[in-house]
Amino acid sequence: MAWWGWVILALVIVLVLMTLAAVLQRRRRRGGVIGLSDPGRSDSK
Amino acid sequence: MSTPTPMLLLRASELTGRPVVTLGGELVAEIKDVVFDRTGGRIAGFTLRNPGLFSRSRKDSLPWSGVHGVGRDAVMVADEAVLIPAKELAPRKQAHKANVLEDRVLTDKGRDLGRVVDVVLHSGRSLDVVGYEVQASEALGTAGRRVFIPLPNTMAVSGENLIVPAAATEFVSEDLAGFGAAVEAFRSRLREGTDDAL
Repeated sequence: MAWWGWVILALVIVLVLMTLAAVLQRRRRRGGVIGLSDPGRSDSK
Repeated sequence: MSTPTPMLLLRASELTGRPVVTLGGELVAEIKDVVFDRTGGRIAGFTLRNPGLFSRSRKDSLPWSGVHGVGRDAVMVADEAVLIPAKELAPRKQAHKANVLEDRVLTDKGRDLGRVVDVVLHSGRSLDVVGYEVQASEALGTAGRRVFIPLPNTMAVSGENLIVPAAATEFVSEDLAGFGAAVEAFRSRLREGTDDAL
């Protein structure tokens, strides 16, 4: 494979990894709503 | 006779990512998860993460008792001293299992109303869970659409299914603006039912 073939392949791999990281990060940042029967310190204000 | 004050409602997802700022103006963290007491529906606090795109979860959390105020753009705290270890508010293993998003909502008569996509909070002196936003099932006649289901004052829920009284289906709302009135009407109906039973 010519040198530019390796460059394109590397770029594609980087792009795929960046997309995966963005998707994972988005899922992780979504947050949740946690309902506990006895949350640690639920003292009211 | 005084006019009743309309309920100030917000979705739990609106709090996610909101910055936590001290009264001195220092940015402490961002809200990650909302933690509530399943029995009374009251917000117990928030888990936190560091600000920034590739930020990590923090090992401390913000109990409701440490919240100075929940504003439109930030959650205010007196200072960082109000934070407590995250495991004291919501131990990680427990928290992972207790996320109600995507949980199924069933009536006490066994009808499947859909899956939870968000939780509706009432902002007043405290922050309370007053309803679920669900992706409606066919049982509600609005299959696939997002609707709001009111909750009673006290909830008895555990496990992966969230149980609501069957009467809640009569007070389903399609928009958040009208949902406050639906919650009040639903709770008033439940109170009347309790009074009749006495």
